[in-house]
Amino acid sequence: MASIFFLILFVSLIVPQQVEAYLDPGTGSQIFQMILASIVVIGFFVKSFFRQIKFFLIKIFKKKKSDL
Amino acid sequence: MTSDSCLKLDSSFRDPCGFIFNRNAKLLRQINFVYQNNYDFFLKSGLCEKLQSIGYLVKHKEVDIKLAFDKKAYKIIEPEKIPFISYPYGWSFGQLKDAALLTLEMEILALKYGMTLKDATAYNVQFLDNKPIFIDTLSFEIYKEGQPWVAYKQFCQHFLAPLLLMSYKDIRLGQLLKIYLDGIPLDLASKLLPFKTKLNPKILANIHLHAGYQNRFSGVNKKIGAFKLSKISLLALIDNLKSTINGIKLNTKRTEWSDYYEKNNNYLSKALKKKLKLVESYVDEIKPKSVCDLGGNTGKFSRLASKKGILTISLDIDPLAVEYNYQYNKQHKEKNILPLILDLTNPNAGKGWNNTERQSFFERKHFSMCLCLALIHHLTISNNIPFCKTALFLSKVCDWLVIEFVPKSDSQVKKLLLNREDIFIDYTQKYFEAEFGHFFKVVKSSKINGSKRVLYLMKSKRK
Repeated sequence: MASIFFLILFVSLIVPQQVEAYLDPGTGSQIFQMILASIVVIGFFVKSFFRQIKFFLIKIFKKKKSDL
Repeated sequence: MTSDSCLKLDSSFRDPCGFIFNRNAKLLRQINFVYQNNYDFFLKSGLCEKLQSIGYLVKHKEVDIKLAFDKKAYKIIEPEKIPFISYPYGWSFGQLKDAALLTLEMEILALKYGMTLKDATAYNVQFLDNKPIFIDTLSFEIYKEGQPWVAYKQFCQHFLAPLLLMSYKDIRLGQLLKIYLDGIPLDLASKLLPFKTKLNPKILANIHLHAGYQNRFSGVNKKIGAFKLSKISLLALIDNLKSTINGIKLNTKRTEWSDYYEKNNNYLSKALKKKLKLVESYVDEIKPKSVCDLGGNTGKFSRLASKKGILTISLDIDPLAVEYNYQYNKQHKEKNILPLILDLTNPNAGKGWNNTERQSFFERKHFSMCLCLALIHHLTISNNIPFCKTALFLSKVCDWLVIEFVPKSDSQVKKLLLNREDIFIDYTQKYFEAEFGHFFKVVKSSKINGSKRVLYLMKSKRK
């Protein structure tokens, strides 16, 4: 898990990208956003994984019920 | 192309992609050539249709380009009209929270269709039948793989910070949005929030650490290239914000007005029924196009009008009463009613650039009728506003007035005078009628059986 985290963090931080917008995103806010997003993405993966399992199980149970 | 009947709105100038203008009493939006690619993609991707079909985005139709304000125009659209424009500092906690969640849902959907929100100002959201609706069709831009959410800071300032302050500190702190039109600065929010919020990882990150980073990089004097952020990381960030917003709950301690009907023993249920019937009969007689209930509390009387299909703005100074009003209307799927926070003794003035960017409250609409129920004693005795000042003000903002006179013998007035000197020698029904008579013509008056109060129907002499 730790290796995935550092891989995401690395990929997220290395490549510069110019943002064109009329709104000033704020330097500190942008940098912080990168760091935060790179951390919360792990929880997001886990959450999505369990959600998919949940949907899968619900689907199976529904199917079984309809078979009965 | 510009003509005398064509006027740009003072609130629409920051975004070079387009603006709103009035032409021959029609509200139109000009989309400039600079936004052409984004607008075309917005339509072709199906995002526009999707958002409009689920009621997230205001509907619009394209109109003749000849109606353009100037030569920069690529398209002209006519958005569906919002009956009353409200601002975030008038919203209750629940309204701001729903507007925040709508903004995040919009961003999630936009990303799904290959676009992103380029701003997240609370002023992009309005309320229609107690549902938040996004009004800025030009807020979407094509998502470029790797780009961060440029509106992250703005979202935190406009939504997250005020909601947290209202929840953890004091519900009245939502009024800070009156001072900080671009949202509450995060360093200020961080200072005001209690220490326990630092123990909540989501608040610690999005407010406290975020504010720290802002401060740390505020004086940086060299160009820092923006960084790439994968789409999944961006979605994770939005999901994090969504669960943070969802987790903010209101401390529902009762305030002065939110339990008014339950606690107020001036009104026996018989008198309350009589008052409801009387107000309804006045509304039926006049058939106003719009009603403003001044001191509307939790909206009991406002709904008499809104249920008849009349646009009704239900105002109160108490943010909790407005919150109850909003939640009740939401739960009961009420239509045509908009509860808002307003201190009548200090109504919202013109704000922003040139004091015209955000209009003052009563500049936004002239009302056919105002309800002024159980209010006059608070204005006159609690706030020392003479009858003539109240009458002058009311005659300016409405054509018809339904006003309740509450005499000194009423227990609510007695309560107000209990621990202060009674300097209000003019507070009599006779003087009230005389002073209001300068600005209004009394059409009807009726005693409210079961109480000592009198209900008047008056017509403004300005009409």
